[in-house]
Amino acid sequence: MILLETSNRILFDEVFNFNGEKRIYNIFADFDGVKFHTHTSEDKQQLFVSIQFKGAADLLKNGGQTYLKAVYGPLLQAKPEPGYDITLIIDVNAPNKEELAHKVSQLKRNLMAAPFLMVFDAIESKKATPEIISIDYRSDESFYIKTQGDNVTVIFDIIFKDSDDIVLSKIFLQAFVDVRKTLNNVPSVSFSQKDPPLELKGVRGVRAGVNHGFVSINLFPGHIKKAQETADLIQTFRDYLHYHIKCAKGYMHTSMRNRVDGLLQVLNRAKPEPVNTVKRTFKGKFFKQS
Amino acid sequence: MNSGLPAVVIDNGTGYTKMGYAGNDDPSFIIPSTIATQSSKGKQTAASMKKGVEDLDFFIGDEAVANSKTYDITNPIRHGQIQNWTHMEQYWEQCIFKYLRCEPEDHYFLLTEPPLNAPENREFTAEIMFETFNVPGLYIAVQAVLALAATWTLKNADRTLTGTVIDSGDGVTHVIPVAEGYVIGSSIKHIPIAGRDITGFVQQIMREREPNIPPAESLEIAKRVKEQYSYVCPDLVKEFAKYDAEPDKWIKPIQAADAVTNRPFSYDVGYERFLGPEIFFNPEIISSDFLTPLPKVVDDTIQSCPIDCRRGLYKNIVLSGGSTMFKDFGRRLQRDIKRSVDFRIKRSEELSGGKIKAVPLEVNVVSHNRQRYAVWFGGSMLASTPDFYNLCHTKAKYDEIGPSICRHNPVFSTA
Repeated sequence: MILLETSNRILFDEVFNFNGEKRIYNIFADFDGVKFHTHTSEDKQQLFVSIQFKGAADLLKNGGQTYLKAVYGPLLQAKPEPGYDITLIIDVNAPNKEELAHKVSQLKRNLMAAPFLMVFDAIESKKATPEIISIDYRSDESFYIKTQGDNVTVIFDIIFKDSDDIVLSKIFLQAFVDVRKTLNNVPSVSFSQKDPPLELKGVRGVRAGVNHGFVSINLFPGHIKKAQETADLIQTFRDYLHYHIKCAKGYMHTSMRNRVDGLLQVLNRAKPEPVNTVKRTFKGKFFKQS
Repeated sequence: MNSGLPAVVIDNGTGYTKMGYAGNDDPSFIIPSTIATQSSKGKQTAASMKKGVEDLDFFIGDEAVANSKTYDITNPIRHGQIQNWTHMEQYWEQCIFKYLRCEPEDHYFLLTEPPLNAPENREFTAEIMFETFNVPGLYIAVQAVLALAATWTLKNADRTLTGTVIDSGDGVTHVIPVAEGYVIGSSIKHIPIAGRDITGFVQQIMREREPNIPPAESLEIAKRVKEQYSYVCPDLVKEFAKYDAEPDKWIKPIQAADAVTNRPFSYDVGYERFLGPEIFFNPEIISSDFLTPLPKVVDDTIQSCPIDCRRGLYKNIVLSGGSTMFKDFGRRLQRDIKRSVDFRIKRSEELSGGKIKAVPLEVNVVSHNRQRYAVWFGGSMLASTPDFYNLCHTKAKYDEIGPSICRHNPVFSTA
C-alpha cells in the first residue's frame, strides 16, 4: 500500500450492514484526530453518523457547507448532535446501500477536500478567491491554501513528535525534488524547518518552532484541472508523510534484524567444541575422548 | 494524557486478529492473522536488486488469502507467539493505517499476549510500538486475564480476576488458572483437541455416510454443520435413542448445489450434531493417545493450584474462544466437574469416618454471548476506563529507561 485510502472502512461496513435489526453504538477514530460516532435511533430505523473534527469550523466556512450539501443533500442535518460537528442521518430503507455506504464513508475526505475544490473551481472559472485560507485542523498544526494567479500553493505546518522523524522526513521529501528531473508536471515541493516560508509572511497565527516543519506544495493548472484526484491526494498528505516515515523505520528495522541474525550465525560458528566428552558407542559401552 | 480519542485494542491470535477501538462492544475487524508478501520471505534482497517499494507490497487478512496465488502466505504468529517480527511489524502497520485508520501517535494501545510469553517478546513488541509507531502509551495484557474481565458486564457477576479460563480456538485448547490477575503458570494444561479436530471429525463421519457430497466441498459443509447445527448433549446413549425414535424431528435434510457444476445434491445432518462437540468429553472417539476428558483436565488443573485459591477457581470457570460456543457446552462442563468434585468430597468425608464435614463447594461455569472474541471485549472494556491510562507504559518512560519497562505490566485493580 503506497497511498492511503480516502474512505473509512469501519464506517463503510457499518452503513452497508445497517439493517434496522441490531442496536449500534460505536465510537471510532480516523486520521487527523477525527472521531466518528454512530448510533441507531430508538426504533432502530435510523442510523446517526456524527463526526467530531477540530478543523470542522474552518472547513465548513471555506466551502465545506456548500460541498457537503451538494454531496449528501437531505442526509445532512442542519443541527449536529451535541459535542459533534456534522451529523448525517441514514434511513434503513435507503436505496442503493453500497453506493450510499461509499459516499458516507468518504465524509472526512469530502470535508477536508472542500476548500481545495472551492479554490480549484474558482480558478477554473476565473473568480476571485480569498488570498489565503488557513485551516487549523489539528491541536497544533494547520494548513494554508494560497492562490497566486492560476497556481495554488498548499503549505502544511507539520509537527514531529520525534526528532528522528525530522531527519527521515527531510530525506523522504528530497525524493520529491529528485523525481522532478524524470517526470513532467510534478508539483514542486519544498521543505523548511523552524521558520515559515515567505508565502506565509504577514499571516497571523502562524506557529513556528524547532519541531515545526513547513512543506509547501505548488500546484500548477494541470493539477487544478483534475480537481477531485488532486484533492484526494493532497488532503491525505500529512498522514501519507507520517505513514511513510513509519514504513521507512520498519524497513530499517528489518535490515537491522537480518544483520543481527547474520552476526549471531557467525558467533555460533565460533563456539569451541567441548573437549573430553563421554560418548556412548553403538553397543552401549562408554568411551572417553581424550 | 488522554487526548479524548479512544484507545486501540488489537488482539493478535494464532488464527484470527481482532481489532477495534476501546469502548465498543464488538471488534471492528476480525481478519485472519495472515500476511501475503513477495517471495523474499522477510529477508532483504541486495540494494541493487531493489526496484523501490517491495517492502510496501503486501496484504494482510482476507486480502492476503485472496492474493495467495501471486504472493507468499505466512502466519507471523504460531501457537499464540510471534515468530516473525518483520512480518508482524508490517502486519501492524497495515492494521493501523489501512484498517483502523488512525495515527498511532494519538492513541494509546492495548495489545495481548498468550500466557507464559517470554518477557523478551514483550520487549520486542515495545520496541516496535514505541520506535516505529511512536505510540504515546502501551499496555500488554494477558489474554486469559482479559477473558476473565469480559464477564464483568454480566448480570450479578462479581468483578474478580480470579478464575479458570478455558480458551479453545482453532488449534489448541488451554486451561489457564488465574489468581488475582496473575496466571498460575505451573498449572496451565493444554489439550490437543480444538475446533479443527471437530471439523475433521464431522467431515469424516459425513464422508462415510453421505456419498452425495462432492469431495471439494466436504470441508466447508463440515464447518457449516459444526457452526450452525452442533450442540452438546447431556447423555450420549439417550441422545442416540432419541434420534432413532423420532428421526424426522432431529435429522435435518439439507439441499445444496455444487459450486462448480451447479448440480443440486442433498444430505442429512444427523448424529454428528452432538457427536462433534462430544470429543471434548470423550476424546477416545477420535484420539488414541490423548484420553482425558475436558472436565477431568479442568479438575486436575485446579487441584494442582495452591490450595487457598481453589474455591475461587471452581467458582468462576470462564469460557473463551470460538470452539466453546456450542449450545449447552457450559452446562455439561459444569455438571461433569461438579460430579467429580462432589465425589471427592464425599470420599474424603467417608475416609475421615464422618469427623470432618466439608463446606459445600460451588462450581460455576460462566457462559456469555461474546465468547468468540471475549479477549478483545475484555480489552476494550479495560482500555476505556481512566485507570488504563495510569497503568500504561508511556513513551516518555520508554525513552528514559528503555524496552525493559514492558517486561512487567501491572494488574488492573478489580475495584
